[in-house]
Amino acid sequence: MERVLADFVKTLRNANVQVSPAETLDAMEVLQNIGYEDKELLKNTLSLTLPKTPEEKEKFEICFEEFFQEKNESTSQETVDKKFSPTSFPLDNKSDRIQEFLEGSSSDLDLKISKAGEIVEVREIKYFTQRSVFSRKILEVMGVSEIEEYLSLLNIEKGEVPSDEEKQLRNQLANLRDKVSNFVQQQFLLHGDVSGEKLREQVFKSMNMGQIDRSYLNEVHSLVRRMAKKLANMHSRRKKNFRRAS
Amino acid sequence: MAKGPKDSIKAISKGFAKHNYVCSNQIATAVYLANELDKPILIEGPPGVGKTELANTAALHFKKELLRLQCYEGLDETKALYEWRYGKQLLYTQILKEQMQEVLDGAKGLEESLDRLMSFEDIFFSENFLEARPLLQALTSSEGNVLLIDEVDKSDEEFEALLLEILSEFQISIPELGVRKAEVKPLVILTSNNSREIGDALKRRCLHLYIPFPDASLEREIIQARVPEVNENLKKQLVSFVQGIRSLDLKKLPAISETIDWARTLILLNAKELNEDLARETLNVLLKHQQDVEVVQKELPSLVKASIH
Repeated sequence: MERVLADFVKTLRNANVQVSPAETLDAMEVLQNIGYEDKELLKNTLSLTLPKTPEEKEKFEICFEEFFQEKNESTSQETVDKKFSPTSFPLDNKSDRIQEFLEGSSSDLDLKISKAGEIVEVREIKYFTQRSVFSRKILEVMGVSEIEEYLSLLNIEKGEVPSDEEKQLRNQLANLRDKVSNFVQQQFLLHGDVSGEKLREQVFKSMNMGQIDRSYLNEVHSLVRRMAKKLANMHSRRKKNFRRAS
Repeated sequence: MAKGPKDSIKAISKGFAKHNYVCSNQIATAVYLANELDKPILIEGPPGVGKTELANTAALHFKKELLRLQCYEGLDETKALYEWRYGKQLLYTQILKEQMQEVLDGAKGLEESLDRLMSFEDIFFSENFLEARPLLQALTSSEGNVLLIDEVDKSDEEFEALLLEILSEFQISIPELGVRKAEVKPLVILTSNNSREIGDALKRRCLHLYIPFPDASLEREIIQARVPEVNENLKKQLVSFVQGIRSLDLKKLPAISETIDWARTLILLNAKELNEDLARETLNVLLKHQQDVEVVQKELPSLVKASIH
């Protein structure tokens, strides 16, 4: 479970919530006391230990919901997706993996996707252009090429009219692709985006204000505000010392 | 019987309610964690939302003494930590001088006199002459207590640095006497109105609790707990009126303490329900700036109308 916390802290840092290693250790100590079972308690507790300003607390709320929602989804979606899981089909020459794929419930699928995500280290995603690469990698780990191969064999054997089984399999496959692509998108929002943001900030700092595109106006606003605050902090102290000395 | 954290948190909520403090889950969780893990709580939020009251209630709930340290600019360690009782120390040296005659009587030469002087127990710097201030009192008490460091943002940065050792190690170094470590760690509550940014080092050591203005249902509960005489209808109207005022752009928004004061005022005036005249006449209980009063007076008819329906 410590890994989950470490991942969550990383997500928070990505969202510009400054969390120090010591605070992470504090959070771990606290979690040993209260456990991970109760979501509301978990949220209240982490919100006391990790974010330390009202603004950070707001960001924390959003990050928490996004981060822990994906972990709860698997249980809630099970009933909804029942209709997708096929009953038995008279198939003989397919491998266990395909059988498993056809019969597995939606929650199993989610679990497998996140496991495959761990194998390909999807949390390392940095840029949005990497999304398709990671999607493909996850699909490969899950053995999609085997299913695709099987489908093409079916095509050759049975001619042009697709059987019910084939339709089912294609549906499942499309469903899987959607799920994986959503999963990667979510991971990108959690772990990635920031490098882009930081990169942009670096560029903005050295750019002529007039040349910055209007669509980035909000980002520039917050950047300027942060720079101004830093400046004010620096000089207010100096002013105070000066007054004291005189 | 071992209780889970959830039960303990509920118990705190209930215990606080007995002392007329209605607290959210978040607040109860903070108190529970602070008590279990010996971590200080730093409470931030607008004035009048019950930050100081939380410390008072915690002291009542845990049946511990409340030690309060009000911070202000220029607060230093002689006011916060300890001070030597100079007067008594001076008297002591005078007594010593008289006693010294007996000790040194018959000593030959400077060397022997010095030896005798050294062997004489010196209590010039000892607990006897130490005047403990709230921080030291909190650490040396054997029963444990609740230490409230109020409005820590009003103090200087130097004082904040002084707090670091106390809050993380629960100990104080007194150069003449050595380190004094707490036997029973106090429950420490710091409050801040954010008039200046508190240092990261201090924030790092604390659980951070932000108490915002309450929503309408929580505020009604608080009014019920604090001013039980107020009737259901009036309570709903006055809370909804105050919530309406908070949505305006004012210099100082009315806090819970002001809502409570206002409820008491209305009871005193025998009001059964809210109307425009009543609101206009008692507006200065809620608002503390003339320009805010002017802004609200313009909006008064619509505010009263909205809260009555």
